[in-house]
Amino acid sequence: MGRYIIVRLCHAAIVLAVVTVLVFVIARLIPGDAIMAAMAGSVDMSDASVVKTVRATYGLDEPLPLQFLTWLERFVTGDWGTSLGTGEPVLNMFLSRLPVTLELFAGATLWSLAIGLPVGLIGALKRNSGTDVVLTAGALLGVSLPSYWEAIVLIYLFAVLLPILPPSGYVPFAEDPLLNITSMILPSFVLGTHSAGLLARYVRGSLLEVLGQDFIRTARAKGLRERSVVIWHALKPAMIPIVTIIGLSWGGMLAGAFFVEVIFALPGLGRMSVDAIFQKDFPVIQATLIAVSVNVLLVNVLVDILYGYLDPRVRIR
Amino acid sequence: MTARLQVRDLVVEYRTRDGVVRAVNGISFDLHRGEILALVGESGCGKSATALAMLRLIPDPPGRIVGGEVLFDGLDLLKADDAQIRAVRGNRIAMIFQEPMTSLNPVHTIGDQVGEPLRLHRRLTRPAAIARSIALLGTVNIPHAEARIGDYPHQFSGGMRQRAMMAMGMACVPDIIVADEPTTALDVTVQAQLLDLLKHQVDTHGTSILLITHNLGVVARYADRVNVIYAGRVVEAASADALYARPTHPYTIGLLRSVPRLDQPATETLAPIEGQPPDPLDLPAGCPFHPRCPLATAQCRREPPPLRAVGDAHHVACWVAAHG
Repeated sequence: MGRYIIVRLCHAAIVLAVVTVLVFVIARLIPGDAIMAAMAGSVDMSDASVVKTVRATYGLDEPLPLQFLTWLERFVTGDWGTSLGTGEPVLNMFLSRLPVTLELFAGATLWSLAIGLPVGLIGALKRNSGTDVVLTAGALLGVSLPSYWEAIVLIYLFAVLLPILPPSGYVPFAEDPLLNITSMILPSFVLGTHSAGLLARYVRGSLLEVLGQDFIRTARAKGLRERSVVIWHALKPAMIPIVTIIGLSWGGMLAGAFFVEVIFALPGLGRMSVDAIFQKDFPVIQATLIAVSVNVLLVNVLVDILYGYLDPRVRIR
Repeated sequence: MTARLQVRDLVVEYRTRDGVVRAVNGISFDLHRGEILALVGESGCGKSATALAMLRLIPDPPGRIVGGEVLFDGLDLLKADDAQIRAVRGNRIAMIFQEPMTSLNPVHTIGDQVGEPLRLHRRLTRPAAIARSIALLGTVNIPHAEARIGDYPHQFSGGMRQRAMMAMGMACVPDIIVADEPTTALDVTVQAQLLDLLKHQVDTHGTSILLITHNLGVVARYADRVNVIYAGRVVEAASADALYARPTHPYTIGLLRSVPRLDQPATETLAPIEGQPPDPLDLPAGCPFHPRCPLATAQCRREPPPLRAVGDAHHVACWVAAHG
């Protein structure tokens, strides 16, 4: 199992190396020179010698591979550059926003598990019953509802009509734990319902597939209760595709965070990315892209490790 | 002596998109203590459905047990409540399935799976069940059982998996073992070893075995009595000796002629049964075998023949053979 984990981590490292190259190249390929744009107000850009000086100052006259290595070296040592928008060091901006987004993701994943697992389980065990039809329709609704619409409706219901939750804003946990949690309930719910619907459908499908397998018949023939058949024999093999979906949802949550953090005024990475994209704030965009990739890669390694735990056949390879 | 298990007029239907299929159409038989009864027939003839229906393991939907009785120990298993049937399954009546590849759970160890009936029915602790499983794997000739007890099914060969299935079936020393094509996927030497193990179980514990197979060689060597099944009905029931000495139903005769025999001259060609098994959605009227039968008469096309005695404990469902 140790060897298996090391191999997975090596794979992730290779992918990460490719990602850093891509991120660097993409930033250079996007039309519109950010440095020029940023400097346009303060220096005379029509003067070729001034442009040359500016470019030299930022190392833009070096060959691209050298620029890449310089950038990579700085990035690895924690010098992520300065935001063109705020003038703050990007690393500081990133670290101050990371906890907000992590809390949001964790909350959303909890919601998604709390809703998706039981709904899928009940759907599979009472397949084709009225309950199943209602739950499946609900799951489909959860997947299809646009999160911004859901967010506005929920704010109206739980902050305006029935004012029990704050409509938006963020308070650090250390400052006011209760307010921190209540202010996270709605945003994480909105982000979580989408993956909850997806999860419910996968749990139902996966469990139904496993329940049709020969070894389930063997388990029933031993005289086990239906409950034990499901929990002991069906759930573990059924969890393999489910773990994949949980991992994929976590990886894809940043896209949802773009909407949710803006609507609920949360100072997280989603909000920071949206601002950076509008301002062509390249250092911030680059940092975000790499953070997203690392996030997805780490989750994938975690999913792979869970596969190994769930399915003994995977461990051998 | 009353039979240990009595199956009476069992009817099983499957609802398919194209209509209702009657897979088992009024099958009856007795199973006595210490005997091996074979159910023989082509695939799709209803022999596996019969076995599954006895323990109510037919997946519903699409399957459904429509009628009949399965009497065991004063209890009609088809009417028993959930707790009663669970107490029989794996404990008094165990099943050994075909397909050892898919019939074991891939994510649990062999030891846990073999020991499971013991923990359930004998209330053994996990360590005690594992210890007993090691002994069981030893009796089914799995070498180094202590070392292999923590293995997963994919680490076992096909023959070893089927042996583990047998160990699982024998765990609680059941009164009846239902073996559904237990050796189909295995090579001939392994087949013989496994069937000898079953036979040993009969000799030492008086276990009754319901052997479901299409392999007439296996039947000849191991079965005491044989029920030949065609299109969901018993068409001939006899002792194995009588069946091979005096096969009476044209279908049985056809089956035996289509098997090569070492004591026949090699120049003799095998005679296959002409035609296809009937479409279960559209069974022919009268005797279901008449479209393929060389002896069919007008009566065969009209009326289904009842099972009638033609000798001592030898019954045949055929108008022509019964007259002759």
